[in-house]
Amino acid sequence: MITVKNVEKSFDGLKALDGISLNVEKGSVYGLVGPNGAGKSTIIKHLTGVYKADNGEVLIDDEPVYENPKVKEKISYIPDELFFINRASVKQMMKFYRNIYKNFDIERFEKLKNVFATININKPISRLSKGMQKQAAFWLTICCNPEIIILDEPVDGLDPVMRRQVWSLLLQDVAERSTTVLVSSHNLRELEDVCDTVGILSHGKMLLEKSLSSLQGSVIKYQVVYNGEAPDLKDKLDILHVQNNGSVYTYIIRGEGKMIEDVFKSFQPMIVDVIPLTLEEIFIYELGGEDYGIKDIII
Amino acid sequence: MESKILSSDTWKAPGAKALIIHDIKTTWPIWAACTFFMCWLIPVSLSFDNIFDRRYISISIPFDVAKILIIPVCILMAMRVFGYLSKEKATTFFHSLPFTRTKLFVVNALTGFLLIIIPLVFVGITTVIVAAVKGTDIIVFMIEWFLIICCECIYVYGFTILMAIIFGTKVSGYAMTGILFFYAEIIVNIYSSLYSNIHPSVIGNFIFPNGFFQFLSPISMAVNINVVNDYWTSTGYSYHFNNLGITIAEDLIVGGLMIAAAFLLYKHRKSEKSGEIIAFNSFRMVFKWGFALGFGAFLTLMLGETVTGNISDLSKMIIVQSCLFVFFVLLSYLIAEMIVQKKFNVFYKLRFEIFLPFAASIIVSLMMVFDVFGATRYVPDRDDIEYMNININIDKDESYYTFSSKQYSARHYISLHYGKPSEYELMEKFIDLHKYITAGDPDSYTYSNLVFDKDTMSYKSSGDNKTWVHIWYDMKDGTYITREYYVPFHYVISCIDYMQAY
Repeated sequence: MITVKNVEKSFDGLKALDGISLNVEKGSVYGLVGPNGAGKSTIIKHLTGVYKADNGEVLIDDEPVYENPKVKEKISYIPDELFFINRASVKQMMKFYRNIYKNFDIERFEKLKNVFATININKPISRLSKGMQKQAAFWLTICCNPEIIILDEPVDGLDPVMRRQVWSLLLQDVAERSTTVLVSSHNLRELEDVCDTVGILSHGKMLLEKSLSSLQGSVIKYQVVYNGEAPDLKDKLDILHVQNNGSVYTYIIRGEGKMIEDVFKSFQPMIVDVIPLTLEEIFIYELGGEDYGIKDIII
Repeated sequence: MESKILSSDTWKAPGAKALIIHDIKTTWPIWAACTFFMCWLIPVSLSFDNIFDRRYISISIPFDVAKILIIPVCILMAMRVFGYLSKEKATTFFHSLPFTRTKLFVVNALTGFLLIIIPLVFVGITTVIVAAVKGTDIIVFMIEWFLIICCECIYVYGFTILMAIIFGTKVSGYAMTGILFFYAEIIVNIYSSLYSNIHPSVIGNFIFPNGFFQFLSPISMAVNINVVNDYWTSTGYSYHFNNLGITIAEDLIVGGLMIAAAFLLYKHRKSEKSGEIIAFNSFRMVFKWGFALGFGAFLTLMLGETVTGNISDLSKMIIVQSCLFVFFVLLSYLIAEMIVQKKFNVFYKLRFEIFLPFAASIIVSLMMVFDVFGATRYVPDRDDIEYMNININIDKDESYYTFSSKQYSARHYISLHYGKPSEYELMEKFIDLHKYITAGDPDSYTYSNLVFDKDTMSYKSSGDNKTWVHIWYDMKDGTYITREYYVPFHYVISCIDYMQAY
């Protein structure tokens, strides 16, 4: 669906994107993460046809995006900094979008009034609160019925209930209409529950691109209590991190679970517990050795 | 073959309609004000004035004012419809919509233009109706006027769009529009002045006819096409415009080129430059120095008089003016840098480039103003002079001033060539005259506005009645000294009286 091949982009000599490639499957939710200045917004502006790549290709359904209205019509985009036409109300913006996107669903707009009930559709959006402006942006975007939704730091400013509501609407579209969602965030917790695939950007490069399930299966956290001295496991296991608190040892280990447990059991420990890892921890330990400011991703 | 730019796809809904509605909504104060003032200026004022009933009164004034009034309307409209280019958020929004750059440019540019023209159509039709009610048929004249003002709009609007694309739609865009208008006016006026003062009969044919460079300046174009009363018809005077064809052609060609250039630049304008003051790096220096020189010259012209007004010595005046020009150019450069950097604190970065010439210009100016070297007061020694003469220029444009009992007419140019080496005493008198001027400290004359009031039989202050006194010394060592003083008129009369007495 979305293919980015070796895209490079410089701003006045400063390389913002340094040969980035990524692939997003149709009907999936792709999370783009990285610290501030990693190039998330820049690659998103390439995907939406705002920027032209210095080198490389940005394709959607094998067609270039830049200067291609037919492709851009498939995309709805919510930027990190919202823009609405001067003093336009939600109703006026709806009319504006209706004239631009032929798939705009006016019935859905009416139905969603219940979800976004707090928004006065006749009031200028600029006079609404930041959270309400974000809600209005989601409302209008969803009603465009796009094939691809691109979100740049999407839920900042939304309260937890509305966050859940908005994600529920988006995932409903993913399930029912095979909508593809690409979402950028520096907040891994936000993405953990919704993404199928995650790409990590740093300094304009793609560090890692993996499905969430394969990431979560490849690194495991154990808590082990031994009878006596802790054995030296360095040669036996791919230990990413170890920490002990009295007789309790916590290991982060890359590998297959059964094999790891067998190794522990050979030392007859008192307790061996498997503790679920968060996405944050996976990234920390997978990439902790790299000097990419991974700590910046974790909020 | 269908034009790629103006193909049916460009206008095909959806998209174009949304943009047009957006442009109409965001520019409403401009087109509403334009409609109101144009209506007030032409049909309303003419209907109250009964001007069509009069045979000998020209109807040109409101139409001439309209030609000038439309200039700011075009500038504001162009800046407004492309206003999104100066805001990163807005540019991202519009460029992410399913439009090509071509469509965005064409729809915005054409909508803005139509929003200027439609009020003019309304004004034209209303005026024809008002005239018809008053028994005058001015349809042909109004068509001419409409053609002229449309073409003028194409020029100014196209020019401003080009500025908006290159320099953005905020302060830098407006500044460069104004500065380039100023440059164009200066070029037109300098050429016209050269043509008039160094007439072709003196130096042979000029390469270009007088007024040729008028096409560079939209203001000159607007000002120099005038309504003339042509011939009497059964329904009254028939009016038409002079230079109609050539003006329309020039406006269309220059305006068309501007719009074409703007379109090409727009296609290559990077979206990421939207938040910046100058969209193209190569134009940064053009902006900074273009602004600095233009605005510096403008400030020198406007404010220089306050410093040089009291200086009588021409050479000193030129030096001080030059220093002031340097001072104002550097000041303007600082302002340009502030605009580009979007911050006030730019002086430290430019301290060496700016401070040294800045300080030098101030020091030289002050030295000249206070005559540190005594150049103004310097009078050569009699024994060193080979020959001398004095020219006193009484401005021919001043009219009928009478002074004292001598009844000198101010319409004469008086050139007094005296001072043969043998005429020792006369030369002494001239040197005394020079001393008389310098001792009187003509620099300090600020009143200088004396005319003779016949009723009271006394001088009184009125107008700017200064004139030039030019003194030339040929020295015995082969060098020469010239001094030119801009002195009060009564001073000249005193000098003449002095020589007459001799």
